[in-house]
Amino acid sequence: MRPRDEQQVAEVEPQVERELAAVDQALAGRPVDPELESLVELARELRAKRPEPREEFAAELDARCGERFSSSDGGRASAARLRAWLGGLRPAQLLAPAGALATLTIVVSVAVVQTGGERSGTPEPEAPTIAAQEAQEPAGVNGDAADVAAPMTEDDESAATEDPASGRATSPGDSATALPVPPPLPPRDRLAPGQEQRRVERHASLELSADSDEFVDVADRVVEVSDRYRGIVVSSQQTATDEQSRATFELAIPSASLPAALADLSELANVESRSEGSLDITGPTVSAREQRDDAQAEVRSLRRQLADADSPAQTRRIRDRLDAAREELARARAQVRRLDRRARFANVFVTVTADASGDGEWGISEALDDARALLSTAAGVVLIAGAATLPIAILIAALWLIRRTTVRRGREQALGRDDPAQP
Amino acid sequence: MPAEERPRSTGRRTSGRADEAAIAFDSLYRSSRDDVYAYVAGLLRDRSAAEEVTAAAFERAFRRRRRFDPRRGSPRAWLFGVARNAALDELRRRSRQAELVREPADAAAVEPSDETEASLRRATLATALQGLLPRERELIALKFFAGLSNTEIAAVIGVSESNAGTRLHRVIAKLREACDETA
Repeated sequence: MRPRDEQQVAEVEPQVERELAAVDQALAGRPVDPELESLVELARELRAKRPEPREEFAAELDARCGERFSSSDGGRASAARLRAWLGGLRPAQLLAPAGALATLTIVVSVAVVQTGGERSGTPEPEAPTIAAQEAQEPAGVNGDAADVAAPMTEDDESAATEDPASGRATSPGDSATALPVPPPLPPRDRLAPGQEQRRVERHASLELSADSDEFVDVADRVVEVSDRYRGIVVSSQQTATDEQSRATFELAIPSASLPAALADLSELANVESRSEGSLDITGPTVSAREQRDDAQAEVRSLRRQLADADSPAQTRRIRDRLDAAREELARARAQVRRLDRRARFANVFVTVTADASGDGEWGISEALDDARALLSTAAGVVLIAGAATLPIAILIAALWLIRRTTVRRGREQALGRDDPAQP
Repeated sequence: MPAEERPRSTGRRTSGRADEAAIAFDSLYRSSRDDVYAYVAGLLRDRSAAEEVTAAAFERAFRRRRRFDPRRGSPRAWLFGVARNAALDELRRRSRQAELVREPADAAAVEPSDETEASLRRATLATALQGLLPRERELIALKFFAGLSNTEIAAVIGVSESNAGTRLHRVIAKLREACDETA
């Protein structure tokens, strides 16, 4: 602004104040400077134009005010009251019910998910069923005397190839006079140098401690976990003294399901210790299969020689060698089967202990443990509720601000829109 | 307090604070009822709409009476703020309908044949009022119809007191100029 304009403003302002004061005095009925008589007259004329309410309207409004604006106009009044109530709410008043609703939703969701997870169990194990496995294996899991010493019979001997899945003899082909044809190797036996599939034997041990009143339940659940993953309880033993109860289990769990089984076992009780290990048995497996293949070839060769024997003496000699070769083949096959089983099943040793001294007692330490668990759970719920509520609260606050800004702008624009003189 | 001004008893026990709040609202209502109507009617230039908006404004104020913060202004200024919002909501909701069908009878019913100076001046003033912008009309309604002080007007429209005074003076000057030109 130019200096002259600033001076003009400085001169006008006192005049503005004087005239506004004169208006107030005129409206209050007090005497005013005669110089401002025209202004006073204008003020009085404007005051005379004041609209007055109808008497009927005034009476009706007085009655409504006396009734605290309750109305018998049914749904419309209810909707109007609802709108007014909602409009009267502070944003902070919306956060509490929103937070409670979010917390309830989270708790219910967690409960449903956990319940559904327990009910559905774990993924189906990939290992073959125990029935199918036992149908293939004569006895035991990792081999025993009967498994090693099973001799070949005439039926076994007549086979030219082995079943790729189990290593047993399959239906014979005409191999007595034909050129020796290497039997087709099963997919697992394609262990050419540089292309071996690793064969790993896994084992694990787990020590659990439980309350004395839960000991039996935990022990039962160990067996349930084994069954769940198509495992085998190789052995189990339970002992109980005045001071402690103890149960030991030797399980054979399909190796593919070992991680999941260990996870389930770890949830049964407090884990005191847990260890896992593995042993690469690829080399021994390759060697055992080679020995089996060699023994099988030897048997085949001797059978051809036996068919070509010229004399009884030669026949006896060949038969003796053939018997020895068959024994060797049986041992080799058994070894292959043992190594395969060691790779397919993992040994899991589980020990469950419980102190008998705390049986039925609940003292300070148990109370502290329970309180700690409860506080931990409560803190977790509050944290999750807060994490879920905060975005909702931010969203609500943002929407409220947007709405408030939009309404205010619209109201101010309404003063500018309703103008007949505006272009 | 006269008996006729005492609030109607509901027959229930209420807390002391609730009674005080009820009495305060009743007092505010009785002292401001006609002023609020005059302001709203002056702004909307429609009596029927003004009645609806006035009733809605008082109902809204009653529902929100607990939200009043005395640090932000007087109860009267707060009430007129509620009424202003209700009136502006009405303006937003209405379409570009015709303006006030009829001014208050004492001002609009000036026959052209009545040539007294006072009548001519009133007619001139009415015409000048018709030509005001809505914001200007609002200031006239707040000052001359509702009788608010400059401080209260500033609180209602959300400006400083000096700004409100300046705006008001500008509108008054505009009306004076219109009346003086005709005179």
